Amino acid sequence: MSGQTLCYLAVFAVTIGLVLAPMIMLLLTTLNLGPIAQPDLGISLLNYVTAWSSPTTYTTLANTVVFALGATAVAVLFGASFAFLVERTDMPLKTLAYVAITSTLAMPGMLYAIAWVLLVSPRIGLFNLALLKLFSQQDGLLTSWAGVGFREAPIQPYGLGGMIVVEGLRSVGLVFLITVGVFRNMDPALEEAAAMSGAPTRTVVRRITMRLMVPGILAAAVYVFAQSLDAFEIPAVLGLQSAVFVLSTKIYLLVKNEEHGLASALGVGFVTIAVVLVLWYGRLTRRIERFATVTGKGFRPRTLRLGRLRHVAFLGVAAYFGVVVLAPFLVLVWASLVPFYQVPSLAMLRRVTLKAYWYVFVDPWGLTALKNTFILVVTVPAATMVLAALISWFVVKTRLRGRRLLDILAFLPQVSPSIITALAFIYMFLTMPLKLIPAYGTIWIIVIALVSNLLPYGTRTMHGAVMQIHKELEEAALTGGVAWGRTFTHVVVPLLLPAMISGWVFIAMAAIRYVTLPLLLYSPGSRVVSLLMWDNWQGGEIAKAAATGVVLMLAIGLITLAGRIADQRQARQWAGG
Amino acid sequence: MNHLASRRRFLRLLTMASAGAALGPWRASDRASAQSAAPAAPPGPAVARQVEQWYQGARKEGKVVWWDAWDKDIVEKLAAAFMKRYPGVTLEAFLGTDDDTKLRALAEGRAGNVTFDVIVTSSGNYFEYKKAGLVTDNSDVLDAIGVPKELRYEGTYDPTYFVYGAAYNPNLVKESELPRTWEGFLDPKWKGQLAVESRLKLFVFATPFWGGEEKVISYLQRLRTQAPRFVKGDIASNKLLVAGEFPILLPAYLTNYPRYVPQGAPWGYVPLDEVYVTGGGPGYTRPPNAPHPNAGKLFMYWFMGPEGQAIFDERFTGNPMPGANTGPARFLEKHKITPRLVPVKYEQEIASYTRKYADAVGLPIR
Repeated sequence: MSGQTLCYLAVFAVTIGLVLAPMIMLLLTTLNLGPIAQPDLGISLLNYVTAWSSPTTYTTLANTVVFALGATAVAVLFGASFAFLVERTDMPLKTLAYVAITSTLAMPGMLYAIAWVLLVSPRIGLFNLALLKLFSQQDGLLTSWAGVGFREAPIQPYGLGGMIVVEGLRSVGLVFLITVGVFRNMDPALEEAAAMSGAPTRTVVRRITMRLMVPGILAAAVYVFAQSLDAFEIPAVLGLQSAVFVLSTKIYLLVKNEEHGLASALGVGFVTIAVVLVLWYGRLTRRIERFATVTGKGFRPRTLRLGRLRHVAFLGVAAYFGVVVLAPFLVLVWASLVPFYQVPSLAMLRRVTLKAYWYVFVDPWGLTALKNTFILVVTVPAATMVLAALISWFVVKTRLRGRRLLDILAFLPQVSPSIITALAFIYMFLTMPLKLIPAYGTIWIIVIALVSNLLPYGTRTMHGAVMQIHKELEEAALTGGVAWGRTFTHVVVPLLLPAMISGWVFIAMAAIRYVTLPLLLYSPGSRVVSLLMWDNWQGGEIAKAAATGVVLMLAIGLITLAGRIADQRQARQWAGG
Repeated sequence: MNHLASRRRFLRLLTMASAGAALGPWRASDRASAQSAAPAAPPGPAVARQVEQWYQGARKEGKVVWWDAWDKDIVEKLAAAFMKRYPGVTLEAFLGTDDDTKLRALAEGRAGNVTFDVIVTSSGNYFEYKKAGLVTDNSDVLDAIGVPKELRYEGTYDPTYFVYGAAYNPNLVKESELPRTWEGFLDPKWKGQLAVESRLKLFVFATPFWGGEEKVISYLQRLRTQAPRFVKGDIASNKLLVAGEFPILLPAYLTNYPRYVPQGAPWGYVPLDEVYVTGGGPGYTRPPNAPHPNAGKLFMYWFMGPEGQAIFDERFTGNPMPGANTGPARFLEKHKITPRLVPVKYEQEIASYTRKYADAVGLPIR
């Protein structure tokens, strides 16, 4: 058996271990089996019948699809454009832009959702208040100048439209991170050939660059779509207010009402959609050679000169940063400085205090939480990205039997509700034979669950990048007698490094901010920082929760910056050698 | 620490157990007797010996693991006080919502590997735990504290209460304009002014006092025409109320009072004629195969006794019934609000009620 086959089997086994437990738990729960079954009801298909015969399910499903498609469109439009600007153009301050664009990912979901309510709510939203101050029909400062005025708050965020825009904007950083490595790995030979033939820049970008980016952009779209199906905080805050349901909020209400079987039966709907998505993606990118841009020939990514447009491009990124990142962040900072949230005013300014920040640093549980969070930041991205790189390579570049199944398996955790995933791991590590591994109650069970949950992100990031690498590189090494393992680590991995670093950054951020999985898996010795924030939130200590959130975001910002610097260093080495 | 001195001090505190009993839970059927419950007898040497025995056992076990849904702040205070009182025994707390705690406890129970010693059983979780075999009779601990028999539920005891009323933002609506009855919120003048917390617990607990299920459904159907805004979670909804997002919130726990009012936040409790109180049902318990049995008993004894409850009272979770002389009781008396104690049955069947009521108010769960 060759080294490649052995490695493939090992990767398959690890993936099954990480993925099957949540899936089995999901299926068992739908059949009223397993640890949260209703013992008096017995095995039954009733949950499927009830879930899928209810007319509200189909309204909810339609809302979910519209929501996910809309959010994906917004995210891909902005995210891919920003990735192009940062990676392939001479836009100024690109490192700053990189950190600015990805900063939304650092904000914990519940705080981000609340921050948006405080920005766009018709009554207290700062954006609405500012717009009314300027353009109110009655006494707007600029109404007479503009010639028109608003009678009521111009932004009405509650409903499907608001949900789509806010969720879409939130996912921009995600698309950016998935596609930025792909843009980096693009051999400009084809663009140069087109330019030499007299094609204008716009045509080159549209007909060459963007088309070559199809696998990477599609991978991002597939992932964001699946993530939007599962997105909870924004639909809960902006949708529930006007009784607009999507599947995730429906599942939340079912779980709250102890209808775990029904919730899981709806969750199986997620799984089906995910399988269809993966198969569709596989079909679209079947002729992968068309997208291979990293070949045996050396190349240097070419920088496109934008001329005067470079400043316009930067202003676009800055506007995005101001509205989508800075404004919610400042709302959080304000919330962390006052004893209770009110619209900023002189009276509230007098009550500003740094007490909440002091508390963050003297929190008696803080040291343990910091240590554990550090373990998460180091281990979860490393394990996930190595596994994802191997899976993507086997799926995309080999003809090994079962590789499509491996691809589907690696994508499934994305659509398993976090509660089900957590319960699956609890059960797995409390029963034989895994009971022998003392992971339960330690930080390691959280690490394993997070690797499982984030694996889909890793594989989506790596698929696009792997497709860009031509098989001739691997073939050249193998022909030269280099073993497969060595070829992979010395030839393939360095070429995948930009995408791996992007993935690493996102996964580190996610590992820091995730709440649901750690919440169900932690013990007092394995508390993490996101749980301290959650504890404060639950205790009504909003200032402390916001202060922890602000500190967390700053820490994540530093990680992003470190990732970007590493990425650039690698790019320079590449360009130099 | 001088252990004998510590024990003497502890025994003196035990004489205050009657206060702890006064903070204790009520069942609707036992209300009259509980209200007139005689103070518990001062603890004798037998109790002292029993506690000492638990303490010595706990020291060998080293720690106690407590699962609850309390605020981090109060848990930190409790942990510090407990560990100071009983050196050598570490208190480890797992904090989650009632739902999180239940899911995890049931999973551990069914896997036959329980890692907690003491667990809260509120929100109807007791009955699920009982089915899963996670409940024990803790009469020995309750006897030691001196909890009157009529305040116990199958050998368990819960010293905390939740009052379900309504809250308002005084910057947006004057107290004099507020209705005194729940029916008053159906007045067209409140259209678009109400926020409803999406778990709808209030309406389940109001059921026996509003004339049964059909009356509540009728109320919710009319409430729906008031275009209420649904909000998720107690914390977020109160935060938005204080921020001025909406003027009135249904329901609001009275436990939010100490969170907002002392800080000068615009949060007020609507002076309704009556509000609904849960408590007096099943209480804290220990699983039969708890990893630290002595420490669990010791912690329950201390936590549900006067010392632990004195720390808790600042959260307004004490007995709100007239004459109990706790913070919430005094507040309700001052505002002429009558607390109605909800029978245990409604906590037990909360899921099925919620389903029906959610449909009625336009928030279908299924």
